[in-house]
Amino acid sequence: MSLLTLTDVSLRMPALARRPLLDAVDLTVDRGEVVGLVGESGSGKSLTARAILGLLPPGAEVGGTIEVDGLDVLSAGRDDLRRLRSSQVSMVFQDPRAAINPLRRIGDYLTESVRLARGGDGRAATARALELLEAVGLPDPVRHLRQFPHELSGGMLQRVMIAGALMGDPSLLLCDEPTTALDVTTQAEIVSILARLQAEQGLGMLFITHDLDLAGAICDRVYVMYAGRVVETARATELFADPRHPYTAGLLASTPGVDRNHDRLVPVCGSPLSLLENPPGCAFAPRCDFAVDGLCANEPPALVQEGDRAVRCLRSAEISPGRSARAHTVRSAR
Amino acid sequence: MSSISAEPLLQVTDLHKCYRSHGTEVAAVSGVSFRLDAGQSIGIVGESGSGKSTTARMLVGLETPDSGVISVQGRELTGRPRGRAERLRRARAIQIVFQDPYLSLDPRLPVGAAIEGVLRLHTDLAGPDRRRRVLQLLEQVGLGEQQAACVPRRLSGGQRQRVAIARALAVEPRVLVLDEAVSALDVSVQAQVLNLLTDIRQETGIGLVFISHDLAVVRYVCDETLVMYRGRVVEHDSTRRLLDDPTHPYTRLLLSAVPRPGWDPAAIARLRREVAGLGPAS
Repeated sequence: MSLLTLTDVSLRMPALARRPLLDAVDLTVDRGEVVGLVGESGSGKSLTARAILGLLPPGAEVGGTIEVDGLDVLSAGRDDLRRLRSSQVSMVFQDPRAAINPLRRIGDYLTESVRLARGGDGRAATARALELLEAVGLPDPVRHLRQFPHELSGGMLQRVMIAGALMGDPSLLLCDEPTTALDVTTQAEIVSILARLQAEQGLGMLFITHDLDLAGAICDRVYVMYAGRVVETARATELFADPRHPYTAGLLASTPGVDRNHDRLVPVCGSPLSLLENPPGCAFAPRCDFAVDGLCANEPPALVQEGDRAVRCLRSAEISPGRSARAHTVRSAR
Repeated sequence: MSSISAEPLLQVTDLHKCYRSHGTEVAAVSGVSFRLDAGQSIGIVGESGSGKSTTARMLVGLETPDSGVISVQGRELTGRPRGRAERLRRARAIQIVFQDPYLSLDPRLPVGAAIEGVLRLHTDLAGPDRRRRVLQLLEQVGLGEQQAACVPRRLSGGQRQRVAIARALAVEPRVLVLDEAVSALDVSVQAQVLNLLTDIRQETGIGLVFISHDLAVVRYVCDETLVMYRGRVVEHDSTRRLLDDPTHPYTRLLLSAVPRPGWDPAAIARLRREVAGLGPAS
């Protein structure tokens, strides 16, 4: 059984949006596995992560099941949820300055949840905090415990948040754009720390990012989301070498590469679906070069499994968007 | 295309800027020089604290350099502007687009009116002509009458950034500075804006100073690139040569830090500490 299993998860907020914010999301993460969740803003990536923690916006109507290590999150009571959040699943957010209380010392931030959840032993919690600050490569753990967040740089504070996420010895780590706000070389440092800790502790990791190259570099498997639906999933190498969904192919064709020349990028035309639109068919159809009138806009496509990959497109069998998108992109290898 | 001997569109010579905080002096920019010809595009890359944004702000007069000269088509822009005419002249020389269009557009003003305000200030166009020009400018960035009537909040992030570009272009500047102007956009929309910038450059001969941390985007947009590290230009070359065959260790570090298959973040972290051995790290 997988560590994390989402089955047919849907989330609606009628007051805010006409379309479902999440629709029929199926997703699994195994122990020791790094799974990427990619897509553009508004695709439902962060909402998926929050739902896994049972953190749902007020007024949300949820369907389907989310299981973490056998616990059904969506029907769990308060005590179960507290245990889930303190010792099974942790989250690393994008902006440590927004996620860490600026008025509390680093030591308090790190030990608070463990002291609350496990009743008291302050000394053991502090020892663990020191150990983790060292593990994330901070130079002076003892001093950092006494420091306030403003005394640390963004990259250092992000390491503090990672240390904090590991305090409860979780089995699943949710990382929501953990390096987006950082410089590229700091990003590499943080990712190397996450990858090392993930491998050492055999953690399952769900890595949310809008950066396809980053997902390709660190993930075993990747899910691509668009407008609240998973449109494609595959092993990372296969997904990027041979995308089957026109949206995945479009994203790849719009991303410039650092080691190749493009005469012209091929953007995905139009803009992402707004919250007020709820087309009956494929949400990507209005922007899709392969959409067929009377087919794609009428009927919502199902996620079709082929081997260990799956794609949600009525035309994926007859087209090969990856190949044609690459043909569109005129690349000169000078 | 002007030859080397012709007068450059933008000439920046030996810019310096220090900030004083808590009694210590920090050299934000020291000795930055470059030239830009009409229709050319130059990239400035580096990480936070490298001085790239300070350079951008000096180009448009938001900061005053301690020393050094900025001139556009031979006319100097350095020093505090004196009087309205001088300020307007400078605005027509160089315009800037920032990363976050939320912060640079008035939230209460329909975007068409925002652009019209710029035209009223900088041109003699009468009412109807002015409004025609607003629509023309919006059309140039792929927007229409419908969007002109919207306040920024009603537009998507990509649309807002196009408005910011249209507004900058309204004064028909010689040089456009883009300070991380596409960094906050989703990739599909980012590609639209990048292509738009390429087209505008070809059509109008405007010069672009493109400030970014994203080397892939810089490769796509810029003819030449400067790499800045702690206020200094450590490498300056044609973009292709610089990215295909970097010579400075910091350029190599930046390049190796870009995620791709076979990427080894641990090796980059080590390389980073070696380069940072020259001074304090993060």
